[in-house]
Order: sequence, then structure tokens, then C-alpha cells
Amino acid sequence: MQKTRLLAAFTLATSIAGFFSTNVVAQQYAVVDTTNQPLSNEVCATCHGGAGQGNPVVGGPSLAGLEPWYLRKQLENFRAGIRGSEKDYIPGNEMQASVARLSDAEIDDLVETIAGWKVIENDHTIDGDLGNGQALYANCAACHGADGEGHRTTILSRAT
Amino acid sequence: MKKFVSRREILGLIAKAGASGAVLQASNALGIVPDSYVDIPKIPRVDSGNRQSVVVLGAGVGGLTAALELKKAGYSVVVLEAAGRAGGRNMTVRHGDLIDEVGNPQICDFDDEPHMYFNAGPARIPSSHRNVLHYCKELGVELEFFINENKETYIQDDAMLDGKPIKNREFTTNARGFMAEIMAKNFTNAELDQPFDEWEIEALMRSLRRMGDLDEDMIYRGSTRGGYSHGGFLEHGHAHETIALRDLLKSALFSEALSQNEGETGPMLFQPVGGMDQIIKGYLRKLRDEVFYNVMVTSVMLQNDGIEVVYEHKGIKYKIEADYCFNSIPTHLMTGIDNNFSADYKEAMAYPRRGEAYKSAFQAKERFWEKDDIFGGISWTNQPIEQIWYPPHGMYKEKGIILAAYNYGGGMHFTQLTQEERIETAIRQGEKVHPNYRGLVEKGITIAWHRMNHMLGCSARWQKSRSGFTQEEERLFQTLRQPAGNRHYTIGDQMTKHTAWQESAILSAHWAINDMLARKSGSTMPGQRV
Repeated sequence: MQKTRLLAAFTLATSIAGFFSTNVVAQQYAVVDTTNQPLSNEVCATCHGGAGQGNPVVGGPSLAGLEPWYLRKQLENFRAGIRGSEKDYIPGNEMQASVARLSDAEIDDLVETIAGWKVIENDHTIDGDLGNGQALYANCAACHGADGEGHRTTILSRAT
Repeated sequence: MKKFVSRREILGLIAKAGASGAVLQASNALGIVPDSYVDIPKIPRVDSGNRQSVVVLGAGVGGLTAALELKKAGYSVVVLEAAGRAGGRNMTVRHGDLIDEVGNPQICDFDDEPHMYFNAGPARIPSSHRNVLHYCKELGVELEFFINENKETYIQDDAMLDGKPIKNREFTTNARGFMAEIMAKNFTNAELDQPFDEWEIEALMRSLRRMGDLDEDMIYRGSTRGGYSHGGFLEHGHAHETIALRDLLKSALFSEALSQNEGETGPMLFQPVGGMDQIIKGYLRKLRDEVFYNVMVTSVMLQNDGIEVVYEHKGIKYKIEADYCFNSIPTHLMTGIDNNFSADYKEAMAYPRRGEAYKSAFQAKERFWEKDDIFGGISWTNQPIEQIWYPPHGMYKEKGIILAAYNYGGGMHFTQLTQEERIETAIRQGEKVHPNYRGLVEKGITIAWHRMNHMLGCSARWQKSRSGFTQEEERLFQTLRQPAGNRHYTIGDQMTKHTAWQESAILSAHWAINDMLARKSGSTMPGQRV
């Protein structure tokens, strides 16, 4: 995919006629029809970096390298408001708003696209003690694997 | 238990402040007026033999200024813009326009008429912003006056008169009258023995301090409201020397000055006829072949003798090599673009906080404000919408576009609401200023700059504290202002001490060009060796 498909998906999602129909005020005062408008096709990269490598300054984590099933789960969680609706957690709120109107098919497209991104090393943003971390990781390894390779049956993603 | 003091005691406290506070009214300008100057870089012409190339990132006012000046001198210029439009935060919204907010795209449905537009970013040009005016002249942008202050507008505060809106002129006249009275005389009036409570004292002292720009000890020690003697944009501003009261009193204009912003006269502000983006259109008339849209930069790499920029357009990647790069991409987004800058430079890039400003607008079915003697200006309220602006243009036409909310510093209140909530909130709050508001407005739009695609923020905020740049912030600013590898300049209003103005973006572009010229000529001094 197919940026064009993603583009179409966003266009479609935002132009569904019934979008504002539940709200009389909005219908009267804020009628929005984005049909056939050239919406941006680079929504993800704005926050998550030009190549999906992440941008800690705006709170956008790296997406490149995440497994498709994990990406899908997180997109679904954001869409459902399970993630991102914490009050005053700005990056989460932004992400929640960004995916709130995606359909299942659009999530499929996004997952397929992002899964194809190559990992780019970004600067380390956390200063920590490697030795301590290694000791603590013993608790993580049961689910995430001894080398952080991930383990789908426990619904956890790769940690490297 | 509340502590009461008499009005007489209060007068003792404010005696000093009162005497000198009145002086400041003579320089009644709102806000600060940084020193500006027109100093268009004198760029030695490069011809085909020594042609140099420049890639400009971002087609806002800063990037377009750099591109225009360098093109005029014969440089080979390319401007890469991520959005489908030029202008950056210089954005005028009209019928059919896309408001590209991440997660909340809107298409404007205002009537399709020349005066039915909304300046969603910059909306007024102070007469002191000489560089913006310079380019308006050079680029053939027609200007008209903009009315900012108008005493016929309203002031509404839920805590005052049961929330009833009153005309600004009523408010101001009463407030000044009261202040003048207690400061000038009545020291022996029996009324003085009536008590004030602590809250009233605090409110009065706060007002006096603000009116006079007094210091912590309620003493007037000069104010930048009178303008800067020099600096204020690229450098810190320095206030003019304070003029003594006895000097001011010598002028017959003393009393005149106190009411200069009222009545038949007003502050001198401008707007382009037909929308602020006429300025952008002016630049683009001179840069027809240089600007490329829908281009996402994916890497910026310094090389030994130039710079390499990789970008993506319609799924295909391209590479450009140039001698110099003038980069106005917001620093908080540049940190997410692959680069090989030094650790110091990256640290500085990651520091500024992104601004939160929020605006919204309605189409008014009729120009109801004109029936209320209002032909421009701003009503103020203590509610989150803060302001309602009435268009000074399109007078006596059937409809108009009004600004329904302008939340400059704390825009996240609205940003975090859904589109429906934003619109309903603006109507509900507007009704407190204009009782029939709900029936008078339609087709609302909202612009949450914090979420606008490709920008994700309004003006950069370098200072964490209101008291000015810390030493550390100064160090970071200076680090980022220097060209990375002598080839890459970070520009835009984000690289000034006075962000959020178009004037700042222009001055930043000029500064970077002058610095480039100085380095090329082998001197660290600005300008050319002669």
C-alpha cells in the first residue's frame, strides 16, 4: 500500500455522511465534507519521524521494526480509547484523535505499510545503567524472550 | 479572619506607585515594541561561473524570504514544502480550503466571496514591522488598516456584574476614573475610612502594577512598553531610558497621550486586502518554479563541501545536493528527521517547546456587530475563548467572518476537545457577549496549531520562565543559530528572541544570509570586507 490507499482511507473516514449526524449543533454549525480533498498522506511521519524512526521531542515512538500484530493491537486500543485518553497526556491524546475514525480495513492498510519500514537507529533518548537493566530484564524475559525477541502468545512485542 | 485596612491606609501604600504610575500611561502602548530595521542582505551576485545552490526547507515566510533574496542574487534555489500549500502559519482560510489538522481535517464551507476569509495564523501587521511592510511593497501586496482596539467592543467577565457584558468604553472610563480619583485626591474624604478587604487590596495593587508596569516594590523603573532602543528580535531588547515625570509634564501632549488609543484615533496596524496569504502569493509570484509541494524530507546530511537532502514525493525518494541549506522545519519535527548534526546541535534542536495557540471562526449570517457601532476591534472575555474579533473589512456587506476564539498561551483547552465540542463551546461562550449569538453564526472552523499537520505547534517557546532566557537557554539558542558544518542554517521565527511574528521570520532569514556571506568572505564580521 499504497499511500494512495491510505490517503483514500483517510478521505473516506472523514467524509462519511453520518459523521456529525448525532450532533445537531455540529450539523448546523460545522458541516464538514472532505470528499475528494487531497488530505495529507503523511500523517504518521509527522510525529513518528521521517522514516518511522521516532521523535521523542513530540512523544512519537519508533514504529519501524514493530511487529504487525502488535501494531494492530495498539491501533485498535487507541481507536477504542483504551490508550491515549489519559487527561493531559498530549502525545496520547494526539494519537487517539488521529486514529479514532479508522475502519478495520484502514488499520489493515496502515499495519501493512508500517511493517515494511526499515529500522533506522535514532539517538538514544534515555540514559541508564546497562548492568542494572540487564539484571532487571530477568523479570521481563519470561514473556519477551531471553534476547527480547518477543513472544506473540503472551501478547508482548519485541523489546530490542 | 479577614484583615481589613482603611482606604486611607491603602492610599499610603500606593502613594509612591500612584505618582509614578500615571507617567506610564503616557506610553500607553500595549505589549512590547521591539526595535526593528530594514537591512536587506546585499548579496554579491553569483553568475554561471560560480553559481551556488541552496535548498530551502519549508515555504513559510522565513524560507520564502531566504529563497527570494538568494534567487535575486543568482543562486540556484529549490524550496521543499511538506504541505500541499505554501505559507506555513501564514494561512488564510476560505471557501473549499482544507484545514489539515491531524485527526480532524476540515473543509471550510464559508460563502465564496472575497471578503469571507479568516486569517488563521498572523492576522495583523504592526506599523513597526518594517520588513514585512518592505516585502509587501516589493511584492505588490495591497494593504489596508486593521482595527485592533475599539472601545465600542465588549468586556465580559463572569465575576463582574453577574457576567453582563459592558462596552469597553464604559469599563475603561470607570476604571480610570476610579484610579485617578483615589490617586489624585480625596485623601480627607470620609469614604476613605471604609474598609477594603485583602482580596480588594490585592486586586487594586495588581491593577496598579500592571497599569504602570511597576516592579515588585511598586516602583516604576522604566518599561519596555515604550519600545526598545535596540535589539528585541535577534538580540535581547534594551529599553529606552526612562523619561522623568517633570520632563513629560512640560509637554502639552501629556493629557492627549493618555487617550491616544481611544476615540477617533487608534493604533496603526495593517492587513493585506483579501487575506494575509496575499503576502505568500506575492512571494510565489517571484518563485514560480522554485517551490515543490507535498514533499517530505527524510534526511539532511552534512557533507564535506555541501549538504545532501533526501525527500519523498508520492512514494518515490529523491536526493538533492546543495552548497547550503536554510531549514525552517520546526525544530521539534527536525529531531525526527535523519541527520548527522553534532550532539550539541541536536540537543539545542530538541529544547524549544512547541506553542499551543488555538483559533476558531464562524461565518456570521449578518453583520450584527455593525448594528452595535462595532466596525472592527476585539471584545474580551474571561472565558476560554478569550476574544471575539470583528472584521474591519467588508463593511456593510451582508455577511462576515468573525474570530470566535483566540487562545494564545493555553490553547490546549480547546485542542483536546472534539470538533463538535469546540464549536458548541465557542457558541455557548459567545452567547455571553452577544445574547443572540447562536442564531447569528454558522459554519464554524477551528485551528488547533498544536495539531496542524507538518507543523504540530505554533511559535516555538524557548523560555521556560517568564523572567527571560536562562544562561543555559542562551547557550542552546546560540548553538542552534550557528550554521551546522558551515552549511546548514536553522531559520524562521523559531530562531529569534521574539517568536510568532512574520517580522521575526524575515529577520532570521536575513541574519542567516548575512552570516553565510560573512563566512564565505572569510571574516566572522557581518557584511562584506571592503
